[in-house]
Parts: sequence; structure tokens; C-alpha cells
Amino acid sequence: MKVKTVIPLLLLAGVGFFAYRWWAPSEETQIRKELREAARLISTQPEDSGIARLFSARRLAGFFDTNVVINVDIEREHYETVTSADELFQQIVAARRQLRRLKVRFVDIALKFNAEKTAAVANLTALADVNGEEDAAVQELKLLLRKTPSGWKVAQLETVRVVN
Amino acid sequence: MNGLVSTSSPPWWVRVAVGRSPKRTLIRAAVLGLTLVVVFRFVLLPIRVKGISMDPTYPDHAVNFINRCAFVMHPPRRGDVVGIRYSGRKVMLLKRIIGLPGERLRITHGIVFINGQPLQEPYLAHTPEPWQRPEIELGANQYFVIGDNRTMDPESHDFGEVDGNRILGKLLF
Repeated sequence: MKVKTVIPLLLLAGVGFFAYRWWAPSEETQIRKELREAARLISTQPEDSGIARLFSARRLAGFFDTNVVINVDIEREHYETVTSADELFQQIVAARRQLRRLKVRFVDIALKFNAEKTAAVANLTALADVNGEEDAAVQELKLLLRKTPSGWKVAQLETVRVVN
Repeated sequence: MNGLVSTSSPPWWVRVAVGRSPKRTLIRAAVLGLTLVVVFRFVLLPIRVKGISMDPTYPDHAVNFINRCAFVMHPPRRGDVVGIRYSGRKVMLLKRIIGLPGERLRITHGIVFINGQPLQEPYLAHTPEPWQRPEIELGANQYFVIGDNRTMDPESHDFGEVDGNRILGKLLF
């Protein structure tokens, strides 16, 4: 086969592959997309109105299972647990009142699926720029995600201590 | 004019850009690119220090490399400054190893005691604050890591036990 024939065929195959990935994204792509969106919703700007903050908090709570369990252990001897999406929503709204500016990014996302691809464990590092402070807050998180008809939902979230 | 071969060489700027043989230059560039990717992705991880916990040994904004092959021949040693990963390699903690697996360690009035003996720490530039940490015994694959800046508030300084599998490598310089 000539080079002139092979190159267009390879290009076509490449375009077809990316079109297929866009049309029918893998479970991993879907989760990564949802996590990116969640990070965007967590982030807040000083110019965001109260309604916008409330709206994004409501949308953010939608990423979580109704019976979500959240265990947060950030500071030594400071432990908090949330056991429902409603409670989480209240916590998000309360936290946002205290923050002027927050920019969150999730990096180093590692995903492990069960055999049926109905549940996944995500380990990720959250970077948070709080109120424009120079040093970002860093926290490793472990999420248990479950597949539902309306997408992947976080069923469990816990902080991971790197140094004890 | 059939069979006439032009002997004129390409202009100087083309020779500078792609060399006398573009094909060879392309291969060289590909090999160089691949080598750089392999070296800086798997062997030497470039880092930029953020924060003051290793100050003044490694001040804020300092640039360095983590040598991922440092512990191939031997396990981490006391005094090594190492990179400790979170969930991946994009963000890491930079700390000094002061306690090795199986050792008993405590901090009393800022002085580190290993198996009951005070630890000499010549790398500390300033007198440490009177930090306290009750005695712990490190597990089989646990190291105790801490920063060189002990003049700060211990609550804003990450230090303690870390699993050996989180240690990415040793600081190069």
C-alpha cells in the first residue's frame, strides 16, 4: 500500500476514534468530566451573587448520593462527618459564606473500577487557593462512586492523611 | 539537460535549522525528545518548592529534582531529603527523614530522640521551637519525616509517620 493511501486512512481512523470517544465516552472519561465540573462548582469568586452561589451549591450537592457519607479529618483532632446530601448542601452554603474567593483543582486522579463497572474508587489530590493566599491548601481525597441512571454519584468521601 | 544533477547546497539558514541531512536531524530530534521525556518523567522529576517548611535549606520557590532511582540500591537513610507523593506525582511534600522503620521516636522541647538518644541535626539553621510529640514506634515500612524549619508553628507544619511506598525519591541537589 502506498504512503499516499496510508496517511489519509490513518488520519481518518484517528478522527473516527476521537469522534467515537466524544460520542460514547468511557466510564473513566465521564467520571473525570464530572470531577472537573465539581471542582468548577466548588470554586467561588467574590463577584458571584448570593443566588449564583446557592445555585452552584445545589448543583454540587447533585453530584452526591442522597445517603452520602463524608468523613473529613483535616486538622489533628478535628473530625467531621456528613451523612446526607441535604446536610452536605447546608455545609457547602455555610462554608461559602466564610470564603471570599476559592479556586479548586483536582489533580492526579487515579480510578479503579469494579468488574461490572458500576462502582469506582477515585484517589485524587485537591488543590485549593483560598482567598488569594499564595500557598495552595493540598489534600488527598478518596471517593467511592456509584453509577446511577443520572450519572456517577459520590457515595462516600474521605480525606486521606499522607503524613500522620 | 537530462541527467544533470544540481550540486548547489541549501542556504545556510536551512543547514542551521535542519542540518545537512533533514532525515538524520529528524531522527536525532526524536531520540533526544524521547530521552528527555523518559528522564524527566521517570528518573528526575523537576520540582519547585512552595512554602517555608524546609527553609532555609530549600527556600520557597527553589527549583530542584527528585531522583527516583536513589533508593533502587538501598532504602532511604536518615538525613535524606525526600519527595512524598499524594495521589500522584504532580504534588508532593518535601521533607527530611529522621526516623527509620522499627525505631522509637519522640520530640521533647524541640529535641528529637531516637530510641531514647538525642539526634544531632546539623542541618537546622535556627534553634527549634519547643515542639512536643509523644513517643511512637515506627512500623516495618514507616519513616518519620519532618521539615528543617522548626521555628514555625507545629500546627502549620506537616510532620510525622509516612509509609515507605509514598516516598518518590531523593532530592538531587
